[in-house]
Amino acid sequence: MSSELLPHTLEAHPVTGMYNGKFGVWLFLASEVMLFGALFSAYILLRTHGDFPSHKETLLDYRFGALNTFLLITSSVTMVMAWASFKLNDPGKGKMYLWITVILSCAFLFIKIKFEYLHKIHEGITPSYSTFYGIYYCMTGLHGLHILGGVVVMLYFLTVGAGLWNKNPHQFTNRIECTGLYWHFVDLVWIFLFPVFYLL
Amino acid sequence: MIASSFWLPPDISAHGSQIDIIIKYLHWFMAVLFVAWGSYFLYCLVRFRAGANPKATYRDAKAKPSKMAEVVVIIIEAILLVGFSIPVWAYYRSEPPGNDANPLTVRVVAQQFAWNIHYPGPDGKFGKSKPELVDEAINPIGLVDASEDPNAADDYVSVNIFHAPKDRDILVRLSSKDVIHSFAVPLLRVKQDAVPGMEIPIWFKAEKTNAEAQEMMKRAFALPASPEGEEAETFVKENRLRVTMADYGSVRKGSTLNAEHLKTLSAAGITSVELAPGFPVNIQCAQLCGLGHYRMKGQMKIYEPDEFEEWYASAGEEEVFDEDEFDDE
Amino acid sequence: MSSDHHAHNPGFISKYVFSLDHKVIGVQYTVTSLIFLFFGFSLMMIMRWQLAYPGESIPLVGGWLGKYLVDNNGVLLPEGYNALGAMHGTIMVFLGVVPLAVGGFGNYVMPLQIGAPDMAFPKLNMASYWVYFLGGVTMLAGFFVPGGAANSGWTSYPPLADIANTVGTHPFWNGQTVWLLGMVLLITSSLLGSVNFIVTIMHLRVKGLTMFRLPFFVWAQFVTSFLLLLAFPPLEAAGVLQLMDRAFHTSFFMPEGLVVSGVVQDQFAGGGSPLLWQHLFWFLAHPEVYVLILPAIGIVGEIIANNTRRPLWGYKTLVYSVIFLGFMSFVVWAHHMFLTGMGTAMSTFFQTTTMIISIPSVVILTALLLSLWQGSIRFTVPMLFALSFLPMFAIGGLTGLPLGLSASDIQLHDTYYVIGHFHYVVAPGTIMALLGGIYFWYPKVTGRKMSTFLGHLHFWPSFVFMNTVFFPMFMVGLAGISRRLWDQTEYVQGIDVQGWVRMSSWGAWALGLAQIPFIINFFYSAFAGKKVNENPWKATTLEWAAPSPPPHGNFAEVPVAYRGPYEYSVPDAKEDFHPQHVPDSQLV
Repeated sequence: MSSELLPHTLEAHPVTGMYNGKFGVWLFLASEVMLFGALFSAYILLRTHGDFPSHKETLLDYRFGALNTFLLITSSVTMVMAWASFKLNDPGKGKMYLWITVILSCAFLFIKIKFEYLHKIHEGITPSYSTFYGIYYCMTGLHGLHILGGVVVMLYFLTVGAGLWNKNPHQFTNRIECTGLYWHFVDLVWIFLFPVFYLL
Repeated sequence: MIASSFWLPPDISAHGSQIDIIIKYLHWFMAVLFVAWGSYFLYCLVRFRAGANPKATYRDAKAKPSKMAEVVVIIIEAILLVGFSIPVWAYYRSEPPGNDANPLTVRVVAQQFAWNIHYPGPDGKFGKSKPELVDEAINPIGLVDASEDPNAADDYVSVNIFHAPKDRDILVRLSSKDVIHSFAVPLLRVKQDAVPGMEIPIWFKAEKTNAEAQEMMKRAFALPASPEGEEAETFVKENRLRVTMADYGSVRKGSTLNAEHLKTLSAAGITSVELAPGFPVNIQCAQLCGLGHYRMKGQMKIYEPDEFEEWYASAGEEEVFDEDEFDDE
Repeated sequence: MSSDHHAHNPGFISKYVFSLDHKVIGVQYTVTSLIFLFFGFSLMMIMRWQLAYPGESIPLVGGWLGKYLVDNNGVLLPEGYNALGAMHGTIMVFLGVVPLAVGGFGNYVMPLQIGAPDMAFPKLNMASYWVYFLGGVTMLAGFFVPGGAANSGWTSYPPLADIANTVGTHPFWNGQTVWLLGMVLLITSSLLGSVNFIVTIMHLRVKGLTMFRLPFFVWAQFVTSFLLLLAFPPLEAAGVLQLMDRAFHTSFFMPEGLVVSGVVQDQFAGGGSPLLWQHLFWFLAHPEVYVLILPAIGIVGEIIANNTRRPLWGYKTLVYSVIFLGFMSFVVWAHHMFLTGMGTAMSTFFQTTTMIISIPSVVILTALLLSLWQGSIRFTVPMLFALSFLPMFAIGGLTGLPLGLSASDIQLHDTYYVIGHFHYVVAPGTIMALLGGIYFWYPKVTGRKMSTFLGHLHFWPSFVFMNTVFFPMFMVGLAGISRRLWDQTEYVQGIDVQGWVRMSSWGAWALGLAQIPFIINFFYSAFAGKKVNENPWKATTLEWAAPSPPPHGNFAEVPVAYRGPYEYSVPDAKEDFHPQHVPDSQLV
């Protein structure tokens, strides 16, 4: 690999004000908005179309949802702290915050799977139970996959990809920033999912 | 077939002429535009070929005529939209107009691959139906027993044959039992998707009976020179839906032309016959609905109003299936 | 998100298979999609036999098609016909035209036209191709799974698609499920590609190349990328929902109380809506039409400017029209759904937007036609293809009017008229333009020109037979023949139009034969074509400043753009073209 870089890999473009990776992530997030937007539209259509249980009848425990909301919001904060630490040239602290983020998201997934999905399936409430549970499993499952994807990326930067810090700390920090953007988006989706399924 | 312009099939409905007018106006508009563009295009290709015009002009040509043309296009489109399409659609999608206080209301339940026409009977009320009661052989729409719902007692379900009177509004409540179908009757200018889980109303009025439609569609055919051989076989095969319109001795009016008929006619020295479809008013499925989509075919049987009443009064009592009339299976 | 540039002397695998170079990836896309195009077209040639000669054994290939497609006598089965139809549509659109127009031309030409050394994200670019390849293989795998390929049309409307290929097949390895998996892969590939394209066009333009100095083709790719980026995710969502319906028996698209062949569908709880799919599908699939057509319009613009030797008429008008077209394409989708029980208010909205979207299309066509005025037209092979695009695209566009107005759509909806209309847009329109593009940029890719003689032998029959295939469909449609019928002679009107149907079929087979000179030309010229310099067409845009074929990194020295893209026949100049990268001082 030669070290020759394409233009605007590191420095921001004067018009967009972003480097390539950041611009790319924003565009990717635009398409993610369309993806989840389509699913939320499907939710609205199904809800207005047929008989849809109110939250009191859904058997979803809002306490698990609230705890998970708390975990994810906290992980968003630690994600920012991680990026800020790398930016301030403190890789030790940065890694620590990144690890905390990973642990918080794993806790989120654990609660989601162990206490919610498996519990529900055990009670015989599978996706085919009703359209409410269908769209619930579908949207929270897709969101869970996004969390999992984020965790994989963070673990990559903590292990195999960590070497880039020594070679090019600027580029490494940019990548953490891009991961952070994605991570905030995933949080934001959950902040919509939580009231839609647990409270409304 | 009748000399209907733009290859459209004959129109036997009350509202069809409005649709046909839009189609015709649009195609004239398209043809004029295309010819104008095309002439200009060909002129350019000849006039400005490199041989005739070795040096191109840098400056953009003044485009006043083209801007005018664009404005005219916009105006014509707006007229077609506001003046024709929106009102016709509103009329087509509205409730039947009040001038006919006594519309015939039927339910049409589409399924793979048949049309079930559900008549309410003399009481004018439909009996309930339940999916679990469906029996494809006896009870295709799952109609409940009369003891459960008295409205069902006099209901009548006709499979694939839609009996209807002419000159009376017919209100169809369209639904489907399995997948999406589309109820299309080209001669009536009617088309509507049948979506499972929805009951969509449409209405139309036929202005011709089957016999009148046949009369519109009859056409003289020259018989093949020899009543036997490949030419005759092809002739019979390709005209398999048609029946003679006039009596030719032993070839009875109403029968499908077959190889025997050809021999008889040839022997009698007849060289041309008038043919028309046995069932001129087809119901097609217009939405892909599975492997039998192509044969999901129904027939309209449109009567004079009094003939219809006669049929309706005796519907369900006798199940006469006229082989010779319904011959294209 | 790496932007490392790869090594200059890589091995065979990393140079030609897992290459990061946009040019190699562009060629990979081009060759793969051309193969898919021909394959998809072959499926149609088989279907056209059944339509022309219903119930007769298919000649030549009838015995080889397998039990899911034909019976023992080699007659196409109705379900086989539906499978071929669904796969023809899917392959032509998602595996043929889009990858050729965007993946092939976009990847190869666009970075060169903006003077970039590569795409912004080379690894993403490579991933995009291989995900596309995997998606294509998955799609084709459908033919070999139990029960045969997907057969619910390329639109895959549920409930039919929800219950298709489920009886007597593998719960997972069945045609429709494989189709959905293939679609998810293809959508992913498109998303990766579109992010890459937008970043590249925004960030990697060379000095001096402002947005309004971009070649029209780059603008077309730019708008196309936004359409792909924003329209595809809803289909991905819909695909996931349908997968759930099929695999886990959720009821997103299934209302309750359905009875299929006498069996109550109680594995579904019910409560869903079949129309939900149609809304999500057409929200993608209408912008998709513009994804198919915009790159083609871009190519035609390039070729016309070059071969009329004058600037494109109304460059800015063209650009604004394309942007407007892109916006409007998101608000017309329900004109595909007029007959699903839509009321007057909705239909008024959607037919109005549909009429509005026809205006920029008319403007674009007019601008391209006006570009011919006072030009000095050279009838090169690419120019023949570009010129043939204009009238045929016009027919495709005009015949959209009766379909876009809901009243005339009552009679024409779901008939052959629709088939004729959209094929005129994408086959005689887009595909002819793409073929022209191949003749145009071939010298850049190989350093050699394609044979003109074989080019004429390809163009003239193709032009004639394209019309032979598709024009009769308008008559068939007006006669009221529904699309997707295995045997239209079931209906009396179908017997009447059988002559037109046969004409279409013979046209299709002749069109297949007419591609032989092209195939020969494509391979033969790579080795034996006439060698040419880097700018054989005397063109102005930046790709012609790079050597042919361009080396790694594209340009010997990074070019600077001094002017707009189409400075042909500038008054009082020595040469009749002023390349973008040559400073004024060297032109006098």
